[in-house]
Amino acid sequence: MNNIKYFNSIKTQYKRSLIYTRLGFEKTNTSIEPEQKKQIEKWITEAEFLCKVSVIFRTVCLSTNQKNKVILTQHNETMISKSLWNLLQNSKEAILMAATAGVGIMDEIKQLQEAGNMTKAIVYDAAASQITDAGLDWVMAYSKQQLIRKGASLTHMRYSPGYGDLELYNQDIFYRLLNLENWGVEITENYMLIPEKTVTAIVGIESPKS
Amino acid sequence: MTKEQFKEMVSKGIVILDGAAGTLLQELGMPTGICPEKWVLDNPQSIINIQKQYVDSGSDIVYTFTFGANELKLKEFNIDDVIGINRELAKLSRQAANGKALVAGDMSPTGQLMEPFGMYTFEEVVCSYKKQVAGLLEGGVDLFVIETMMDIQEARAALIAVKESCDLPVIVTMTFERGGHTINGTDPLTALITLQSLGADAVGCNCSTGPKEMIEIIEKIKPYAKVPLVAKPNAGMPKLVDGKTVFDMDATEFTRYTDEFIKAGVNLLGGCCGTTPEYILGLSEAAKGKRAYESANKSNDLILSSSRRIVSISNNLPTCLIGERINPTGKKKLRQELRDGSMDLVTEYAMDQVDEGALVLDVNAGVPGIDEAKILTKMVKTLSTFVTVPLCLDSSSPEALESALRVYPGRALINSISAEESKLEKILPIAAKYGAAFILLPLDDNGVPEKADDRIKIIESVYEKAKEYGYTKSDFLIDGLVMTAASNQEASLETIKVINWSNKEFGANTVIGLSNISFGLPERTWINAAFLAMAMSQGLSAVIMNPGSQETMRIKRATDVLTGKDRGSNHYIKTYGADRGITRVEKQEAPVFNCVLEGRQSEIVDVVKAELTKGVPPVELVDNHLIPAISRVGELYQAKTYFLPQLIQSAEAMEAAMSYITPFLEAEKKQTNTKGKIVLATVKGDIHDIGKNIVALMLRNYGFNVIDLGKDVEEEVIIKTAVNEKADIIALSALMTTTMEQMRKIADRVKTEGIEVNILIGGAAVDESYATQIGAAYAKDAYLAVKKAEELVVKR
Repeated sequence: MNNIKYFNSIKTQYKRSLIYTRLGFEKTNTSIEPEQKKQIEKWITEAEFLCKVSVIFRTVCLSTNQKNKVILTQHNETMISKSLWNLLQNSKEAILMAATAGVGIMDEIKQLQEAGNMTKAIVYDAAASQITDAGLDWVMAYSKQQLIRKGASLTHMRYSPGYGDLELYNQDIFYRLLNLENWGVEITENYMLIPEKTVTAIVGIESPKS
Repeated sequence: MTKEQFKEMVSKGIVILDGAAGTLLQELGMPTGICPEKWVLDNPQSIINIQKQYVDSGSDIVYTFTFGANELKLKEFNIDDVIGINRELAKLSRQAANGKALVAGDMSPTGQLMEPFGMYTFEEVVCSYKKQVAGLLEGGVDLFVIETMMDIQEARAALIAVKESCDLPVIVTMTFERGGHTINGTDPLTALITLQSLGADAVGCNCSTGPKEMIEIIEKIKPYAKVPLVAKPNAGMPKLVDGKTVFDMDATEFTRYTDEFIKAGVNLLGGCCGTTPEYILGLSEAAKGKRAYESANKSNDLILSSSRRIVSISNNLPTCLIGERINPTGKKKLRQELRDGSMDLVTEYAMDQVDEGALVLDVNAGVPGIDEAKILTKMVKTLSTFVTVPLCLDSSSPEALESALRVYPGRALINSISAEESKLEKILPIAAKYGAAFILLPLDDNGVPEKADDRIKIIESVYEKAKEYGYTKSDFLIDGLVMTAASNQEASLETIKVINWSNKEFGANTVIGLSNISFGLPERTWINAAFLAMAMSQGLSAVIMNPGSQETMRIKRATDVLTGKDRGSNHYIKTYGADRGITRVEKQEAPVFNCVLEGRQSEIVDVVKAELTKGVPPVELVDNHLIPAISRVGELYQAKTYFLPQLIQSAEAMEAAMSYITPFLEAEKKQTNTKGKIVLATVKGDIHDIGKNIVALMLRNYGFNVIDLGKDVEEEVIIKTAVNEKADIIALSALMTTTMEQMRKIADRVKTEGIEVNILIGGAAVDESYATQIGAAYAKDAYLAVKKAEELVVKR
């Protein structure tokens, strides 16, 4: 069909402290009782269990010959963004990737909210966001390892639709090229992805010249 | 080459491996995007020349150019002849080595993940590796190397494939990211324990990092290594300079690390990406005549592993708690679930026990009439994916144990092996094949010996047999064999004697299954706790018990302190310390106030009830306790002393109290003042509502009447409701740039139609300047939304 790779239930690596940061925890200011901390830690562990992180990614060829335009040459798709164009200046290829935490965690968050358990819901929500993002970190680490032997590497950062000047409508390109529909992800007319904890990104491959 | 010959070679000095081939082949014109192995077969002289240079530079072992020549990788290039390609490439390396160096058959990741993460089963991956092994054997390799492994389970599959195909030595190296873990979360020590127990002849790391990071890894794992250690670092990290890949460490700098590597304990040393024969020459000269340092602090702990962590068991460490609850004996519901193939209770018990302090989980699938091998394997697969603690496989079925051990991605503990002939003959070889540790149960075909001396004889005989399979005293736990005190009070002392002997004379770690001691007696907890303390005082290393028994856990932790096993009382203080450096917020004498301040939702209604019973008027509870408390919580949140979960927890406690008090207020016809009416919604097209729900909760808490219209709400509905309800404020949330324009539309309509209502907006997509542009007020978070709403209502 194409070179799309799909792995599910991957074990993502992330720092729990980042979940606390998302929730407004400040190391120097915030005080938390041991029992509360224990409870929050338990909820994070439960969220980890509920998040079934799947990652979907593929390599695409690109051209940056036209200013501020990143053209995915084999697919005739163009993304207009000065920042992305700058980032991909040394790349002839890029990796399009998506990570989704699946429906289980979102159903649970919804139920918690309906049952009035907002505290647990927000902890689950923050944990799910962090864990899903870590899915993209996983793809980058995996790809880096594949590339290093070819003397190639990845650009120093990745870019996501809705980030900086890469408009959110570009989500549609990721959605189509990664066949996200096949993996149970939907896209709304406003380019939001469902399940809500689904993220996409593009990262450049910097290869030596032949 | 035999394993013994390999050992001997390593014992003589530092073994020099080769360096990179792929990056050099690219310089020789190998294009990208093709199958490198095929290109080398078409250009054989390229690899022969490179490997000859390595041999001339001092490499004792060169790796065949078969990194990507496993079945699954070759499939990507539509190449089917796995055996042929491996055979021919191995022959090229033999030609290059020309008898001056050994040739290692190189195996690497398939680029796929196996279930539950990917589409391939464990057995499919083993089979695919076996084809590569067959080809490499036909090509005449001297040993094998499994390298650059990212997934410990895949490394296990490759190792099993080699072990089941031949007796040649196998080196396994994993690749660890800069944070010190593989991308799937395995740390170097965990990898070492798993791979050396599974039969790797040398273990280590390659690629991903430069020498400095690898020295740290070798240093850290050396005390636990029973096999030689390997390092093959990159020449730093690759950079693109003028379109060429340049690694940032030259040969001189790279070579400078040799002594540090040797001091850290490395036995086999080479280079990975970016290294050339020049680097290897430097290494071989620097390492000439030197031997690896042996660690002075060799660990004698029994070490178990999962895919993500290890657990050490020793009489010098806090007694290791093995959770006993995943056992269907006497648990009707669990029995039924296992019959149905459901894992819900299994996972629930696992999570609870880990939370309560279990470091290892005993897993038993002993339900009459079920396929134990199938269910135990399913339990192991399920638990391996989400608990990080190692597992103890509790079964007497050799088939079930073999099936579960094969897929378990770590070093498991087997519960148990006794001197019963059937067990010794069948289970011991299986345990040894997969490198599992085991619990040695001192009973034989005649039953349980009453006296300690007779149990000791059995222990010694099982140990003699286990030695034949390579087991040492640090590879098993001796079960003291706990008998029921109710039927024979002398029996408990015999168990204690076995523990004492094992600990002081024999020199092996011990374990007991605790709960049997109290069977048939009332208040079993006290008997259990007392016996546990007795056994621990004799040096007990591990206990199988229910970690949910708080009394027993308290005695266990206290005894760990009193026996010196919990050094510095660290675990005890961590568990029970009143103040762990966390500043407590101020409390008042009023209990209702404190409940809100501390977010004690489950208690607050009882506390309110008690206050009302005492005669405190409901309105006073609201005005003098609840509202001041939630206001204080808001201040603490503003000052960042509290973070979001605390704010919400307090708000939920407040809400619970208000729900209870409101009927009393209505009965007294004394309502607290409503601050104003707010129509709240997430705008059309936006499906995110958790932020909006938090705002709703907070606004209600502060006395606003909130009409929450939900998410993805049409502009018309919002406007109509605001008009009909005579709302003071329309509060809108949007998370995306594509939906925030809905806010402008609503604000415009309010203006155009002259509707007297304030607009308040919030959400990730918007900010103060956007709010000003559309003529709305802005709040960054839920608490500020309350403050802003208060301001807007006052202005009206």
